[in-house]
Amino acid sequence: MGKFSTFKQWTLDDQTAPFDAGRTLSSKQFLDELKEKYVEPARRYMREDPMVLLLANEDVTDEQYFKLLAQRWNFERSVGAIHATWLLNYTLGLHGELQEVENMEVRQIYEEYKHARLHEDAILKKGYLDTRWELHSHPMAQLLPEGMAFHTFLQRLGNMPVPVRAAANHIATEAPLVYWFDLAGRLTRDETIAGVFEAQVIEETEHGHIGEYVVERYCNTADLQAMTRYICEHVAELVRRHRESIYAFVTAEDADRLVVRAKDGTIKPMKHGAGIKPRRDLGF
Amino acid sequence: METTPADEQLLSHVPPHLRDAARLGLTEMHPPFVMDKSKCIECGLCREVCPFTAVFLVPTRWKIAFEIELERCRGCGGPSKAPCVRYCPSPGALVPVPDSLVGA
Repeated sequence: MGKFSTFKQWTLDDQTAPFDAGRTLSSKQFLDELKEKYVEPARRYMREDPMVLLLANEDVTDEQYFKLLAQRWNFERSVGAIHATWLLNYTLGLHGELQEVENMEVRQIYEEYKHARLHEDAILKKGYLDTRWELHSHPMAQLLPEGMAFHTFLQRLGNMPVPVRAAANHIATEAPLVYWFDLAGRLTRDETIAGVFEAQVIEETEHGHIGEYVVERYCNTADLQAMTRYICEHVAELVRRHRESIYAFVTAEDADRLVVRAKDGTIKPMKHGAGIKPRRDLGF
Repeated sequence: METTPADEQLLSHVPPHLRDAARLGLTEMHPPFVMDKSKCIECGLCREVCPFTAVFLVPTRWKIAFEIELERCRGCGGPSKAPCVRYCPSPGALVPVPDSLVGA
């Protein structure tokens, strides 16, 4: 292919360079490969997930519950925003291809925000905070660096082909999480918090099914499959790091990693809403 | 009716743009609202604009539903003034508790 050939942009040749293109599988076979690699192992390793074991423990403290809920709250919110940005990059086919995926994605935005709000409401019901407003500036509710990395990577998937990002988000991320929610819902001692995890099982399963549908229908070329393998590996690694970082944060003994320390090492008290000045002049 | 210092403390927890509505709830007695589930479209706007965080998402195994906690709802000056009713896109989904139920 010529150096300046315009055909280049359609073949993804530059981008497939780091991937092992291999041979084209049927999309059904490729879906089975992805499920075998990312979903099936989750049955086993989620049972040994330290966070699930912690939640099953009688000694889990309110602070640990709060940190977990607050971190999950912030991340779920960001997932809704990510899907909103992905909506900007749909090119529908001549026969209406991808229109149905776009519609499912709109539905998913609503569900991700609803999940975030479930966490908020559990925090209020448990009496950890007085208002939802407080949560936005609470130091324990700020996204961890690993969460930020994961968020940014998902956001960058916005200009990838739709089957690639659907596989990365729905199959490598959400489908394994269904087992986590199911176990956490069954094992968490606190009923209110167990309810938050339990309630997400069905909708997360649906999100997994969106991924299965998109891969089976649209992920049918060697280029797309190679790219999907590559991206899914990255995303699975980012998910693992994020899960581990939340566990480290929740179980950290010295309050948290985001606490502000003075020069002599003492912890500075941090007021809620520090650094944020609400506008007082807004009328209703 | 003037607000008391205890009321002012409560108002400090309310976002600034919802404080006027919250004052109505403190000063004008009105029965709380209940949700007519046959009309509610579950958009969640009432939850976002409630100054007293009286609308909650309630998780169940099969569905995530919105519910109003009657202890927290202060009526906010009635259906014509309460932000939940004013923002609600589905007319009739939020109705005041009938007088007979609150003993008025």
